[in-house]
Amino acid sequence: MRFSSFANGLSMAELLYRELELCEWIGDSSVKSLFAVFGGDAGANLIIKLHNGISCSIECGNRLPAGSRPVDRHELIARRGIASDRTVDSQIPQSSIYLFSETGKSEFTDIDAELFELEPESSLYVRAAFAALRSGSTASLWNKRHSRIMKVLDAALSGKLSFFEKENSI
Amino acid sequence: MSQKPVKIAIMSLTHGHTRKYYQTLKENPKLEWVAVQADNQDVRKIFESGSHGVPCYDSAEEMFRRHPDLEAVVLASANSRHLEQIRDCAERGLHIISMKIPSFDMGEYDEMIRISEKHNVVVQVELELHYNPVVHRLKKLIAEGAIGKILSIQATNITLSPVWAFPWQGIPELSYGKRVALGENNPRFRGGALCDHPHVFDLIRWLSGSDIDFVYSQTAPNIRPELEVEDMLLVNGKMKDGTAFLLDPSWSRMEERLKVPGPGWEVYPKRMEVNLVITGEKGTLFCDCFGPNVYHNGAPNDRYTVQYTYFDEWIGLVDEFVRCVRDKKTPQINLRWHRQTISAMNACYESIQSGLPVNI
Repeated sequence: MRFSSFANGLSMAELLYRELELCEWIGDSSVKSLFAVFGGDAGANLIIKLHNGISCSIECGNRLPAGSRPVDRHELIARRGIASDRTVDSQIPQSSIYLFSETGKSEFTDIDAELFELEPESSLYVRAAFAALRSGSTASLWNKRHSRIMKVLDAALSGKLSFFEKENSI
Repeated sequence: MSQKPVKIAIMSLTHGHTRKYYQTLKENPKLEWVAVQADNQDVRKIFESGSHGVPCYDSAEEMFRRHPDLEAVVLASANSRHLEQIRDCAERGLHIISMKIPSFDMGEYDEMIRISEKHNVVVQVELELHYNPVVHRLKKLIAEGAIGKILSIQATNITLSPVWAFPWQGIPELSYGKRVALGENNPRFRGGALCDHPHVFDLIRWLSGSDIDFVYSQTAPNIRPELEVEDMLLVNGKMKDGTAFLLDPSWSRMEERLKVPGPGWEVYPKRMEVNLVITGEKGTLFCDCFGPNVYHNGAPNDRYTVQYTYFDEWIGLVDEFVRCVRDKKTPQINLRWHRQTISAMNACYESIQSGLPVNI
């Protein structure tokens, strides 16, 4: 799995938390080992092995200019084929609408008609909160997952080769 | 004043980059393409089907005898043959364009340096991205301070696997130089995707102006389980100036198993990618070294395909080679410069074997 996330105004811990959690969730396994290197507080490069044998890379950076939309990519490579949330031969995410007008260029991406006008990331937060409120077991599961990801994150931020040999799936 | 064209030949014809020289050798007025030598009848037939109008010999000895005025060669051969060929050519005073991996054996590598310096011949290592216009722009932007000091680099050099067309790239002895297991409980051997992709190791050195300090590397299970060499791996580490990096030199794009590369090679739509993301103190650069491109479906397999842009870096590469031969200069990508890249790649294999980071 090849994950990357570049943003503005987020700490490396915030960027890595999201990608580590996606890594365990999409990979359907927990982190067995990781090796992390950092470019100060601006860049992080992780190689991860999950307990089920999947290899994963996570690349993060937080030096996009203020007001930039996040640039991320999640690519899964398997023997049958490849899946990705970015189109082939592209470097940055697409928008739904591009407006070229007298006032310049604008882009719009709306993912939720009920939460229209919210940014995609904000819509996802609202939907996640709603899901947690609807089911107590979901909140409990996510809290356990949070505790585990925080341990992995601490290990990553220590910048050392870290191993989690004991299976600890949540 | 115009210089006399350099009389040049191609040897072996078994390397995947062989055919990339044909047009440049034909059209560049600074060269006179006089001969080729084929290592086997398969590559000879493929070459002769192209009607290049250049004589093809089965033996290097015969080619040298028939062309005593030959001045230079392109060594388009399996990695395992490079030392023997460099020795033979250098002793004849022939200048050399070497493929991207002269040797993984550092003893052999140093012998190549010694021989070429003793005989005063130019040996230019073929790392064509140095002559790529996108990379030129990238280097210029970095030099102008567009993103400030570089803090982190991510780079891909991901391709389909060439082993079906160029079988030596899947044979450890021919690709890596010997059969070395990747690890204690690993059924595969050194010599796969990593050996095919030195460019990103070279690029991060060239762009950062620093050398590699340490690497950590790990393989994934092969997506082509029948290969006995690695096809999926990741590398991270740090440069001596503190720049963090992550490299993906995998064969992660699936291919049709063609004997001769051509249209329809791709199963995944894009056969090759060299992308970089560079984070600096003042900003971030996203770079695709081979784009923008053209997209099509239709012949031969009705698949959606990225017809990627060929900038033909070989023109600049060959121009520099000719200048160095005629003016007795050292090319920017010479054996001494490239040595650290090969050392770093070897360190990746050591890291895969030990599971630990390895200092260069």
